[in-house]
Amino acid sequence: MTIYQGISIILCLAGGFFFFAGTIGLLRFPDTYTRLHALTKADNLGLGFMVLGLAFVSGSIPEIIKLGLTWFLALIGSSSACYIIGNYMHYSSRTKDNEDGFGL
Amino acid sequence: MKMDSAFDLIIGLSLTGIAWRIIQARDHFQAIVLFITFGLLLSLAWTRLNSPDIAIAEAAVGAGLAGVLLMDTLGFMSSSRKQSKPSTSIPLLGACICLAGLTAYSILYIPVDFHGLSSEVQSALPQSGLKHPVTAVLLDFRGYDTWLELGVLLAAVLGVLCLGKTETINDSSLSASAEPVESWVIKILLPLIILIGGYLLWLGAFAPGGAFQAGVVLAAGGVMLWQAGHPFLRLIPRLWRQIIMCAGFASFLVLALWSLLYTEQLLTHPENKIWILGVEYAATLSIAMCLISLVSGSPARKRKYKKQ
Repeated sequence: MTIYQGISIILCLAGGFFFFAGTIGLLRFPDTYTRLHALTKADNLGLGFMVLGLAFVSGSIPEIIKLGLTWFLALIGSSSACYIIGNYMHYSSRTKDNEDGFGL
Repeated sequence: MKMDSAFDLIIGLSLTGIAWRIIQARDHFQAIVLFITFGLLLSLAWTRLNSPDIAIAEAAVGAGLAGVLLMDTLGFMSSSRKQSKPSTSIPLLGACICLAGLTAYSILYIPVDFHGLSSEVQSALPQSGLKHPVTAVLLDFRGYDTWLELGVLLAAVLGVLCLGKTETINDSSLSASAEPVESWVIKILLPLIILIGGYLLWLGAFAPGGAFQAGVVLAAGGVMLWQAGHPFLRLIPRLWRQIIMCAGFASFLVLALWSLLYTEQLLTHPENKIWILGVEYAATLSIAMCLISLVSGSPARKRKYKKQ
């Protein structure tokens, strides 16, 4: 086992820890806002550590760029989806029109 | 090897578990979210089975666009939603178990050293001028199937457009989006979506990718723009939209007629790659346009936004 593989395993485990923590937060937190917080933070950090860990054992530069792009796109997607859901919750709780909040 | 089979086992068990949860789901929203999860896991399973083509298509269509369409329908239904308790009818359950048992039993009859038709496809691959067997099967060897699939898609869109009001497609400026975040996301994602769609289309000739995957990615960009209230559909004249929608089916039709006249066989195109490329590009455009129209032509839209 090379030193790169060791670093990669540690980083991937760190990523797995953040995913685990985020999942617990999603299941245990009381309302939508805190759940969103748990989910997005955990996804960004967890996926970031995993991408970093995989980059250490990847074969080529294009592969690393693709991995980085995956993380970048997931960051954009999750942060903006979080904003849209949070905004919707804020809007619908303000107008007391929460019947079709779809059980969020 | 041990780890791999453990991973496969987890995927298989979660797929079965989620399928069971979908049947048992109490409300529609839960069922749809579970269905999207099911699609994502299914694409993971296809990846494990070394079928990246189907995995991309499943993730894009099964999890992505089908999810959008189902959510849209839910928005339409939410006013008249009735909670019905899921009931399991015993004869139906029996029939399902019989079918599952027969399918499982048939696995015993697959010969161990069976490789399907892959060797035949590989040997005929040079004739098609393509390097990727899946694209060659879809667009050349079994072009007939792809042609009819495009026809099915076109028929579905025609049905939706007939049911929905004609102005819904023209009237795409919904809630005029002044949202800074949405326009920011669009500015970043749209160029990437167009790039990735083109890349998948170009990749189809020699690697996993192709018309369906590229079309769905482009359609996702269109749906994103449309959800944000961008009036891009209005910028394309209606006639052009209709032409683009029919382009894939029509190009296959032209190819079929042309080959019928010259070689007296349906859909045998000449050696050169231009035919395949033309059909593939036309199919991509019309798949993208059809899927956007499926989403935007739904009658749910107007009611949903009247409230705000």
